[in-house]
Amino acid sequence: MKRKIAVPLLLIILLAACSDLDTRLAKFSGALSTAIGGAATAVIELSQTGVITPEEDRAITTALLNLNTAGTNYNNWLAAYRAAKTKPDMTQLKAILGAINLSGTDLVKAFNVKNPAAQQKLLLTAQLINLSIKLSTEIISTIK
Amino acid sequence: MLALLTILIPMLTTATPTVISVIQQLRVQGVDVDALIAQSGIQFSDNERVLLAHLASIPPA
Repeated sequence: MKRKIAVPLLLIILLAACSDLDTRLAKFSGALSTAIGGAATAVIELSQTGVITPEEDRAITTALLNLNTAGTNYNNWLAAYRAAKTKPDMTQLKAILGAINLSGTDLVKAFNVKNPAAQQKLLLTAQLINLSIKLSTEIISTIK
Repeated sequence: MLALLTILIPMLTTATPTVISVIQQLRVQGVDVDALIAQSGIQFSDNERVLLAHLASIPPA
């Protein structure tokens, strides 16, 4: 499962890192969605095997939903950006990416669960989320 | 039914803890929330659908 998610996601991130802004914006959407999907799969597996507490489960899932909502806002902005004939609102994009940064950071914090085995299983997912956060930071720094 | 959907549709477009608690309460009351969502024609992202369903299944503290 890990390889299934990690390999395409890393490819997306590498491609995104080497592209112009327009391509980066599109690739970031895919990277974030894949990272969230991977995290959702991981937390559901851990929940079903009972290695995380309901409180930890709730904290991670809520943080994931918040990140997913921020990602949806990003996708909506991207759709408007593609459709716009005038200059896109980059200030709004910065705010949306800032929200992704914050909710992503909250999620990585929520991954700090008590069970060491569960923590280990969440490590890769945490790294993928961190890569997405890093990518969003790079995009923010590119925007003038 | 229409009144319920009128309340649910705007709420379900954003995933907030309030929405989640409403969904949980409705499920406890025996309302088939998934069927209602399907009937409303709302398009959820795959991630959101999976996460909302999972969150609703977590036992209360």
